Amino acid sequence: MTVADSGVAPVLLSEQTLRVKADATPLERQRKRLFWPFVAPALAIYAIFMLAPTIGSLWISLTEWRAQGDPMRFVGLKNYALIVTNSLSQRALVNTIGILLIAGLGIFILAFAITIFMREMRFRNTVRSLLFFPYLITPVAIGIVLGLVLDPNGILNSILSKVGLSKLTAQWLDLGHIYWSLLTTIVWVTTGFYVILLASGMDRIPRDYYEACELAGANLWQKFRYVTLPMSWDIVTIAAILWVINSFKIFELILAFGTLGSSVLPAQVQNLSTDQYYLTVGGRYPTYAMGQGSAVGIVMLILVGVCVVLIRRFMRRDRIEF
Amino acid sequence: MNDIRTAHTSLNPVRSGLGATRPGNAAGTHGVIGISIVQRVARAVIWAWVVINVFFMIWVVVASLKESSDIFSRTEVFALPIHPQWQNYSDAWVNSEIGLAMLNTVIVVGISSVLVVAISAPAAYALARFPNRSASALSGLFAIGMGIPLPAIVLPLYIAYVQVGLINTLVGLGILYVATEIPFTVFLLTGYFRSLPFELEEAAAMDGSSIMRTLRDIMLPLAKPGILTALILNVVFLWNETALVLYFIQDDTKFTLGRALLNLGTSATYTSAWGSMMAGSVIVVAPVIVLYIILGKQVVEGLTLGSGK
Repeated sequence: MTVADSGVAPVLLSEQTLRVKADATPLERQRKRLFWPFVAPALAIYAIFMLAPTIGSLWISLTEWRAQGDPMRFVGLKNYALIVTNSLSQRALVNTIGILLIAGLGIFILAFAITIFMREMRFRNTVRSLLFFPYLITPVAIGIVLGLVLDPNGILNSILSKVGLSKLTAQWLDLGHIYWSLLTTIVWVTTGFYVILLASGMDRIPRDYYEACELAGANLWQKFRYVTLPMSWDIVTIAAILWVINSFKIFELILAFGTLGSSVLPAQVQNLSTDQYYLTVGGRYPTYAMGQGSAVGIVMLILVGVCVVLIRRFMRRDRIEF
Repeated sequence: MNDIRTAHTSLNPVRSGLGATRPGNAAGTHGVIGISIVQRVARAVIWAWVVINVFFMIWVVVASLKESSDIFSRTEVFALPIHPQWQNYSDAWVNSEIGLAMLNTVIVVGISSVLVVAISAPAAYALARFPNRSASALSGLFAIGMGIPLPAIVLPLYIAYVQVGLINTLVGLGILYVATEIPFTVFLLTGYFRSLPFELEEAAAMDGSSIMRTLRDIMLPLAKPGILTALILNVVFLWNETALVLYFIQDDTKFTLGRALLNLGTSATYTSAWGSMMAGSVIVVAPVIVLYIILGKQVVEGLTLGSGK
C-alpha cells in the first residue's frame, strides 16, 4: 500500500456507491436528468464546428472545386493522388513526416536526458521554467526574431566569428540549410514542454528505487532502462501522442520563419499545413483549390489517427502500480 | 505518511540484495567524486541552454531599443543602446497597428476564453460525475477533437462563413476560437472534476440541498482552481493563435496580434525597420511572459494535469 493507492481508493469507492445507488435517491435522478442539458451545448458546438466540417472536407476532397460560383466536379481520389505526384505537396508531406520523426527524436532524447540529469540539480524549478518559456511565446514572434538571428549578417554568425569559430558560420536560411534550421528551432521551442511533462511522471517514482539501484551498482543507463522508463511509461505514451498531434499543428512558425528574406515560402520548409494554406486561401493571389486543399487536410487527419493508434498499440504495457 | 515511507525504505536492503556482490562500485563512484563526469557535463549543457534562452530574451529587448541599422552591424551586436529608440515602440504601436491589434486581441480572446470555459465546465462536470451510459463514449469523442488538425476542418467552415457573412468578422473568429478550444477544455476539466471528492455532494443532497444549489455553493468553490487554470491556458493559447486569423480575416483593421506581427515582419523585409519589428515582438510576447511569471505554476500544472492522470 503506497500513498498513491490510498489517494485513489476513496474515489473508486464512491464511484461504486454511485453505481449501486443509481435510480435510488432523488439526487441520482436529478443528476440523470441534468446530464444532457449540461453536455448538450458543448457537444452541439463541437459537432457543428469540428465534426461536421471534417465530413465536409471528406466530401470536398473528392471533387474539383474553386469555391463559390464554381460547379463541383466529382473526381474520385484524384486529389489524393496529386499529393503524391505534385512535387510541392510531396515535399510538404515528406517535410511533415520529417518534423514528426527527426525533430520528435531530438525532442524526446533531449527531454529524457534533461529530466534525468535534472533530478538532483539545484535550482531545478527555475531551470525548468527557463527551458519551458519559449513554448509559450507566439510562434510568429519566434519565427521573425529568429530570422534576424540566423540571417547571414545576424547575431549567430557574429557570435561564432567573434569567438573564433568562423568556420561554423553558415547561410542558415539558404535553401540548403533552412529545413535543418527549422527543425532545430522546433526542437529548441518544444523540448521544455516535454521536460515538464516527463518530469511530472518521473517525479512520482519513489526515490527508494533509485537508492536501491545505486546500492546494486547500477549505472545511469541501467537506472533509466530498468526504473525510470518502465515506471513512467504511461506519461511517455501520452507525451508521444501529444507530440504527434502538436507536430502536425505547426504552421505559423514556418510561415514567419520562411517568408523572411523571400516573399514566397520556399518548398524546403513547407509542411502539409502551409501547403493547404497556399493551395486555397493563402498568398497574394489565392487559387482556391478547395478539393486539393481538403484532401491535404484529410490526409493529415488520417496520419494523426494512424500514428496515435500505432503508438497506443506498440506502447501498450501492463500498468505498473506503485 | 511518515510511517509509510519508512516502511518502504526498510525494504531496500532486501530488494537490492544483488548489490552485496559488488559493494565497492557504488561506494567508489558516489563517495569520492560525488557526481560523475557525465553528470557534470550534462548539467553544464543544461545550464548553457538556460543561459542561451535568457540571453535571447535580453537580446530581443535590447535590440528593440536600437536603431535598425545597429541591430545588424557586427561590431554593435553586444553593445547596449546608448540612445534608446523608444520610437520603435510608437512606430510598432501606431504605424504597424499593433495597438489596434492589441485591442482586437484583448476583446476576442477575453470573451471567447470565458465562453469556452462557461460552456465546457458543465459538460465536463456531467461527464465526470453524473451517471450516464454514454459518458465515457462522449469523453472519448471530445478527446478525439484535440487530434483534429485545423486543415481538416477550415475549408468547409470558410465556405459556410462566406455564405452566412461571418467571414472577415471578429465575431466569426471568436466563435471558431470557442469551438476549437472546447475539446481540450472539456478534457482538462473532466480529469480535474473526477479528482474532486464525492462525499460533499452527497452530504449536501442528504441535507436536502437542491442539486443546482449544491453545484453553486459547494462544488463551484472547490472547482475554482481547475476552472481558473482552464481559463489561463485558453487565454495563452488564443493569444498566440494566428492560423485561424490567417484563414478567416483579411481586413488588416481586424487583425489580432499574431497576424499583425506577421505583417510587421514581412514589411520589415522590405523597409528594414528591424527595430520596430523587435519592439512589436516585445509588445506581443510581454503579456504572456508576465502572466507566466505570476501564474506559472498554474500554467505548468494545467498543461500536465490532463495528461498526468
